[in-house]
Amino acid sequence: MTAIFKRELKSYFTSSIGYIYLGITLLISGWFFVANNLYYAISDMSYFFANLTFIFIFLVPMLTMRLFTEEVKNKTDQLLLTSPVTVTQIVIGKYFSASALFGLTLFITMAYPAVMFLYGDPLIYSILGHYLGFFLLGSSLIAIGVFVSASTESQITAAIISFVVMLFIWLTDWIASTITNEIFKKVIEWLSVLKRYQEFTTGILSLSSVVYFISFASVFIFLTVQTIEKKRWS
Amino acid sequence: MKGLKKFFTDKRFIYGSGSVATFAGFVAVVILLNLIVGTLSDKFTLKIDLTENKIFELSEQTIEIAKSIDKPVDIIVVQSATSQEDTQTRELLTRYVNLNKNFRLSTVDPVKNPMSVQKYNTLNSNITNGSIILDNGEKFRIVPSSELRSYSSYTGQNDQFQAEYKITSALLSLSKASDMAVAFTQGHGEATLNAAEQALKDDNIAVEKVHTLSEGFSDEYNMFIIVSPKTDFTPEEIDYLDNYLRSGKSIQIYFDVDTPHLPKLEGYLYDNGIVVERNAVYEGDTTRVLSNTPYCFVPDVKPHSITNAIVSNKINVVTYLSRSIKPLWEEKNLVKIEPLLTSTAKSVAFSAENPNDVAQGPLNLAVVATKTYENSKETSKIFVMGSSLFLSEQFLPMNEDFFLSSVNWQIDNTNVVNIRPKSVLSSRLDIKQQDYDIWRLVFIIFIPVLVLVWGLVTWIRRRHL
Repeated sequence: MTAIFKRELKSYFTSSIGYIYLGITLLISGWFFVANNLYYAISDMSYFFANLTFIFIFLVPMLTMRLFTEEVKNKTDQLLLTSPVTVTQIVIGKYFSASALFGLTLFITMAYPAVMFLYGDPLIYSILGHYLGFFLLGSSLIAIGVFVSASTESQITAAIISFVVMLFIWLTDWIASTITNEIFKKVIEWLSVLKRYQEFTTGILSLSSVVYFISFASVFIFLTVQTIEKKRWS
Repeated sequence: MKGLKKFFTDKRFIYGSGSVATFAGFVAVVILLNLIVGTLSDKFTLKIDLTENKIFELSEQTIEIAKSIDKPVDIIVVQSATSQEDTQTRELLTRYVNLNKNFRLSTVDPVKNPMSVQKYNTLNSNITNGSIILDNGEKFRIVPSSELRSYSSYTGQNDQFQAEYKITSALLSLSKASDMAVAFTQGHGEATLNAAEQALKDDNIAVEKVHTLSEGFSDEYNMFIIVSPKTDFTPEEIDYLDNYLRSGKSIQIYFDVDTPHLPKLEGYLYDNGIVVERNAVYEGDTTRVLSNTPYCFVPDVKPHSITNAIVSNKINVVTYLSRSIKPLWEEKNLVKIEPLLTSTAKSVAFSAENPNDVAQGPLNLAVVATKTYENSKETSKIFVMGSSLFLSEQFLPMNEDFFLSSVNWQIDNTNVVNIRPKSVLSSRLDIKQQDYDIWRLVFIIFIPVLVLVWGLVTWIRRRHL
């Protein structure tokens, strides 16, 4: 699994995709930080993360679209599946590599609060809460992207489907608000990752939300494993 | 039959059904785990409050009041499906519900289900999206959404979260024993204050009207309120009043600029160190003036047990056409006089009798005298204010907290909620324009371009491998 993880992570930086993703993300996040925090001279990063969340619907597919589709394109999928690692290890390795790049991006953006410490006294726990929530949200979206990538054969298709699924998830709260059946509405609301993420932006670090995000990602990783296994016997 | 057997023994069916069953089992375990953790998290508040001022941590007074409630209370959040939920207040309410099994939290959509909200619409109610209704089956209290937060008068920014103060006050009012009674005096041309009477009733205090000339000041009432009388009280009534206060009761007296000279009543107040000046206070600080009239303004609220929560929650009160009150001493003859509302140093008061007689601010607009009787050791509380318009329908919405707090303090000082609001303002950055320009270049241009150029170089180099 470590070998898969290292290979995938390295491949982000041996191709242009990793740099494009990193460059665009840092450009947009830098812009949001300057516009929301430095311009108004406030240390509250809520608006920064609120703006960044929507942008990641577009950026996450860029991270995940090639994970499995490229193996198909390069015809290395059979080689990978017959290598002495389990499908679960392959999926988790790839998932962790995308999450690691996402985490690396967030780590670089920690320069923003570091700069704020030069000019004020931002609340470190609140900022760390935002970062943790955002990382969990992003990791959940990456799990969806990994699943879509494993289910399709072209990068473009994977990117478009991932984007549509994530947009649907973004609209979950709105969809729930249009439902009149209370039980169905509650189920939809429970599935809303944004509602869970709101807890972190409100200033709450809740065990149930952390478990929820990990579960959400686990379900999609499990589903990805099942999808690849299916290719073996179908 | 053969086809059916083939279907069931097909490799795809065997693997497929196994795969579906495994996935369903996995999802079931995940859902179960989340339900268990969610329940435990709510029940034992397995949450960390990351906010600077711990805005979700309930005060000792709230915990004590919430735990003492022994009747079921429905806590209803008025929330239309299309509007954004107030997540901070929702989190706070969840913590209230964890304190007492009698609390039930629910949400009502006023658009989809208008009838469910309609029964709570009363004279003083102000139900809007985000308002909270507390209903114990017999009575209800409404916490308007506009009162959950306070906003800076300079920047307009939400600076304080005062939901706990409001919700706990409503809970306390709801659970209060209904054996408190306040009487408004009659028979001297007193003004009628329907909104103030309703506010008292809403706060679970019985309200009566008493002709003091024939009925005297009966000690079955916890307090009497005299509102802008047009004729004076008789010596007998003043005696009744004195006896009433000697038994440890309280009184509120409101004067107006057009209240005539009342020698007996004013004489009694004079004996207790209070003089109600015959003037009208004019506020010179334009930032405090409302409705373009310097006679209508936001006074300074002085620290006192009555006002602590009002001061800390930055609740503004508004006075209009007020006379000034002059205390003759601070503490003397076992009478302690404390100011509650004052005008600013820029204010003046024009005398009604002599236009050249101008008093310079700050001037007291409301005072409270605490008098201890040596023989009986009883303590009475006399509240005097220079304007009854303070309690009129127009101004009561702004002044209701002050009014109820003063009444509750006078009749039973254990009922005064003293919960401080929590600041939600993030700390400011002291960044100069030059530094801002540098960081803007670094974060928007330098770092992203550096990464993209690095990527371009890697790509070009690998192309030639």
